[in-house]
Amino acid sequence: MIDQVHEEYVNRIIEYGAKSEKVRIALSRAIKAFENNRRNALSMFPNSIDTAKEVRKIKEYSIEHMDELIKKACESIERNHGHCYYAKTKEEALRIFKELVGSGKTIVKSKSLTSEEIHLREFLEELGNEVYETDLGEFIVQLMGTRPTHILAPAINVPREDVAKILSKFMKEKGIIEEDLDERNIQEMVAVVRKFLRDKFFNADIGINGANALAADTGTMFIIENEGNARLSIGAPPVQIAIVGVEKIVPTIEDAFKVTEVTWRYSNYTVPAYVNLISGPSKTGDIEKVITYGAHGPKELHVILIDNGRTEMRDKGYEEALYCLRCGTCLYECPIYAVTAGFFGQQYMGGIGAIWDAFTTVGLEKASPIAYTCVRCGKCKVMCPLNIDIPGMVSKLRNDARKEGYVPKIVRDFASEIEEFIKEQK
Amino acid sequence: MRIMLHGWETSNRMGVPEICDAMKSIVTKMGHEFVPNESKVICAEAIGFLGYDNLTDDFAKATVKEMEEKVSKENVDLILTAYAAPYAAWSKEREGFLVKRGYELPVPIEHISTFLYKNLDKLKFKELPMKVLMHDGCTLGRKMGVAEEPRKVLEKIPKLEYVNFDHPELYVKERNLKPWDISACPGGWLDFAIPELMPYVASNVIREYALPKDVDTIVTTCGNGYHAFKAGIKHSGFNIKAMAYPNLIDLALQGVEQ
Repeated sequence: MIDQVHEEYVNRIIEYGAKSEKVRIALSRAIKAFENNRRNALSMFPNSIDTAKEVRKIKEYSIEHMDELIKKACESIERNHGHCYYAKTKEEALRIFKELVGSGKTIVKSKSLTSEEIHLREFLEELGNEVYETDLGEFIVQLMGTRPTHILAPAINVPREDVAKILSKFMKEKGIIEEDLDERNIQEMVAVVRKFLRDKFFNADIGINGANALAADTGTMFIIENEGNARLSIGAPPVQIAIVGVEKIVPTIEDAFKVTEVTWRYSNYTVPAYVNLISGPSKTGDIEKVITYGAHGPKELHVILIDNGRTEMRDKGYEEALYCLRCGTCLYECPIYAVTAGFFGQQYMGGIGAIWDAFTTVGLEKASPIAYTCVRCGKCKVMCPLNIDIPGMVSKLRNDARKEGYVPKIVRDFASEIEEFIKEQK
Repeated sequence: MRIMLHGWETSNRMGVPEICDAMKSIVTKMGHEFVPNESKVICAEAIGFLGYDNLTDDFAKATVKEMEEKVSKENVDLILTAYAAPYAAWSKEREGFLVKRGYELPVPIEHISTFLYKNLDKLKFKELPMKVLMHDGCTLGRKMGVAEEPRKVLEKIPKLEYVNFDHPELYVKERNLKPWDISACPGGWLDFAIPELMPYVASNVIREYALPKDVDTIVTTCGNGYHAFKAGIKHSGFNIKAMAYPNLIDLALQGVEQ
């Protein structure tokens, strides 16, 4: 079985990733832009380099004390008149979504890797809901019927020429435009998506979001964004549902500020256009100081804290993977990712993606070929703001894969030669 | 000295026997005798990286046993390699993997760059009017910090100009990261798992980092990396050469001061 899994994976990464000139060109452009932007961001705010060291300590503490922080965060959210749920598994999370959403709803969704992890959009669509990804990259990916290929820039592998074609086809069908979009005019592409999604935000029944950090002491979610789609998704519909991985919880709101600052700096922003802080449903006390919920923003806030393999990840010695801020640095620095994009992975990507995929999405067998794609060169570790030891965890994952019989044949054959040598020496 | 040249089989298996030729030539020019080690042994540590931690201890024992026999039979004084992994794993001086596990080879091991560096005062080079991009092997440079040694040797070659991988970021400066910390891997280790992918990765590293530097050649301290760079150049038909570090040295080395 592993040999078939490995073969399918290799075919995919070669055919759709390595052989694609479009992928290479799009990534080359994106990597150069990322490096320039990060240079500017860190030149202006060099203090983030030291803050990153503090954040490493915050994450170390948070992951070690994850259980108590989940409890504390839930208490804070409830205290703020939100509803908190704990989902141990993907299935539990989807069941909660099913109960909260039902069918026949219009839903606007902002970018969330955690929602990708559980295939939330597809699940809600199957229930008979109309779901719109509102992050531009995610929207493009949704139209293409594919999946994100970078954790920050979901359509990073799609050059502007293709984006123009995809948007032209869809927007003409919807009557938003009459003529094809000019492939040189990115501004025009952005404008038509804005026009199309505008009324979706205000007519939606439910808005769904993820979070970059969640402060346990106040129950405040931090959501970094630039497009403004998250604040519209969060703010306009009457019901807000958040799906947050339990590794995002940190003890205090001060910690969450530090986590988000380092996240956006290393995500190549001097400062993002928006940082949304959400602690509860919309409320007002303007009439006789009587607190009334559902003023201009959502009347209901539901926060689903999902484990889905994270505790197991920690308990099996992969706790460093949970420190990941999802800034994307390791991917931009990875020589393999530069020619394969998200095909180096399943739901998650790159060397660290192998760990995440093994525990949260496809399981160890399908994650094994991803682990064997990593060359363990160590550049990711050097460049990671938190110095996460990805090569070390990749070796560990390979060893765990071997124990379960999930090593690809080419590596097994090599190991057999070594075993022969050992026998000869005995 | 009688020097055992390690990595013979690896070089031949990967189709880069020129590394063996250069190693022989360098050792001979320096007035030493050589013995090729044609064993398939890589190093005990690497098999653990590939997912076989369960074999590492037995592999280490078997390696030491084989080496003891060969060293004794061939009367060897030193093991010399163009590959970083065995140097990293076996070097007593660097407190490598074997040492940490309580094993010791009967004679020291040197990487070709550290060996040359230790003999730097004696080396005689002819002019080599070339501009090269210096690529540090991930294990030798990033992991072990062996970066000054190969550069000091290059600096002694008249008319040779080398440039480093760079990364024009404050982040790199603030964290005191060096060219060897940030050099990009051409994917030599993919040979063990997904060899089909290697030429694409190497080709992209060349395109993004070497071609803009306007150099004649990429020189690398990594044997596997050299193999990958060659594959990348062939794959994309680039007009640039790749050289393993010993091959560049051999081009310039005339001998040693007596």
